[in-house]
Amino acid sequence: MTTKDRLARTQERGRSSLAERAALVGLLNTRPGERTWPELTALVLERGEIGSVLADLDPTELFASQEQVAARKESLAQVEQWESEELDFITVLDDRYPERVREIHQAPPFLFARGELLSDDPAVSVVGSRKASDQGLVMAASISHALVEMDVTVLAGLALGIDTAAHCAALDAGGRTVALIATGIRKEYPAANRELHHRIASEGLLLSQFWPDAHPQKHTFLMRNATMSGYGLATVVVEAGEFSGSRAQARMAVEHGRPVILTDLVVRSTEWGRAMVGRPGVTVVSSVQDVQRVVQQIRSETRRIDMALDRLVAV
Amino acid sequence: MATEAELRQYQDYLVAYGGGYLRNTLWASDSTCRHCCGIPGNPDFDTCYPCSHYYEPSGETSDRRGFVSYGWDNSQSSRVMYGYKEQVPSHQAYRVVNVMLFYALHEHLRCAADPCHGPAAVWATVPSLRGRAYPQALHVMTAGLLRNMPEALLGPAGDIQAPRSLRPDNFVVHSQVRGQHVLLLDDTWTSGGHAESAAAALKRAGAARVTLLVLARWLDLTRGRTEEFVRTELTNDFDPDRCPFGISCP
Repeated sequence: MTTKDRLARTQERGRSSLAERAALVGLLNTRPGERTWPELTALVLERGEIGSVLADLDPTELFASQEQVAARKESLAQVEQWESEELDFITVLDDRYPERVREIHQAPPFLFARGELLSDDPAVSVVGSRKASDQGLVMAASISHALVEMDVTVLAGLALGIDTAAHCAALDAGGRTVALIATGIRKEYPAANRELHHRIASEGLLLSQFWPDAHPQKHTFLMRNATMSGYGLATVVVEAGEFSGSRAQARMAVEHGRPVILTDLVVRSTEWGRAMVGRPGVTVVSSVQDVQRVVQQIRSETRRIDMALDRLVAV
Repeated sequence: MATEAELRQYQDYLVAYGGGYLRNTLWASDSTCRHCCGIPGNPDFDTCYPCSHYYEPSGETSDRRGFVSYGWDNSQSSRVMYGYKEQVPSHQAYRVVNVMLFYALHEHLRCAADPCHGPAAVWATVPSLRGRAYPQALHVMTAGLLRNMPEALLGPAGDIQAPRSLRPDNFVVHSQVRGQHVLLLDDTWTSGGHAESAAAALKRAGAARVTLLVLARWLDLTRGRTEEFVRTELTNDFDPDRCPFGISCP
């Protein structure tokens, strides 16, 4: 199959109907056979549709009991409620679901969005410590500026410290920024970033993989970092501690086959940073120009490999 | 044929975009089966149960097997091995699988040459027995990459029983393969019954030799000491130059 054929197939994806979205909510709430969300998501992706998964996993659905009828009504009411609030609910099968997120094994079954979703958003994660040094904050801002200069979206997690510096610098430079948050989309967390939360929703994009009122929890941060690694073309770790979310994101990015860019500050100051040097797709940078060069290379890589593969099968 | 520079490009791509989650298979290891490089349930045995009790005694299964990588559920390897063949394929998965297949064929097909019958001269893919409506991704991919080699048509039989056990009658060979060395390709090997049945069907149709090349030897982490094996022995990142057939390449 050539790249053109593959892209044509991708174009066939449409938007799920209200009923399909409600079916997904029902599937995730009832979890037939006590299957996990990742297992259910894998089934939905394999089938390419939601309705038959529910019917197959739970045959009693066909002869629905009163509780099941009520549960179905509730899912539908929920989806309608979100619609009326203008909360954008996107299923993993929707054409607007970010393609790169769909490529990772922790692809969330749905995303809530506020702001503008782009197809094939060229984003790079700029992440690091909440308790960043002044040097780290300056670096985050200049890396952010450099990415904006290249028309690359700055992706971060709306946390204090490096994330905030990266988001703000992108907005100030008139660039695009996307925040992947570790709470439900109705929550404004951390409280200090309430204003930034709204600014990103109106000028960029806010994404959440949790139910709208979900509180932040230890595991939601980790899940969010996995999604962030998926959304971006690469992850830049600016400054990080020995045990941090950024370290987890760098590890997951390598496991996803996504490039990781570590500043020499990270490599100098952490053991995990040193241990990552030489792993597949990991580059160490010592200047903003280095970051630009590596990101440029990553951006052209996909096109080059597609062209090479098309040549292989060309008659 | 690819130029040296192109080969280098594929190799770099596979390492950068697959090296972090793909794992080379281990042959000649105390832990793995000498037939399928899976993990025998009994650690004292050098062959796992289906291989020693069904495949090897039947005398009509594949002559040689190559496994490019290991894969397991709930991991990036599973996302890639499933994602490349979804109706709307995942782009990243398609690229990685395509490069993986190309590189294995280009660099390691010669490793499976036979002293008497030479290198494989005909290819086939193991067809699905689940009656998929759309063409199988691996078949489409291989047909593009091996377009200068004739294909042996292999299809599902009308009457399919126990698709995972050794049952050559589940497949029908539509081409003349008598005396030929057939390269049989599949994307995943779980217990092997599916692929070995296809190999045996080719043997019954007269194939002189069947070499099986599988992209991912699927492991079940919930069984025996498999999880420990993955954690302690599969610590190296993927190296495309390691031979899927477990030999030092000619």
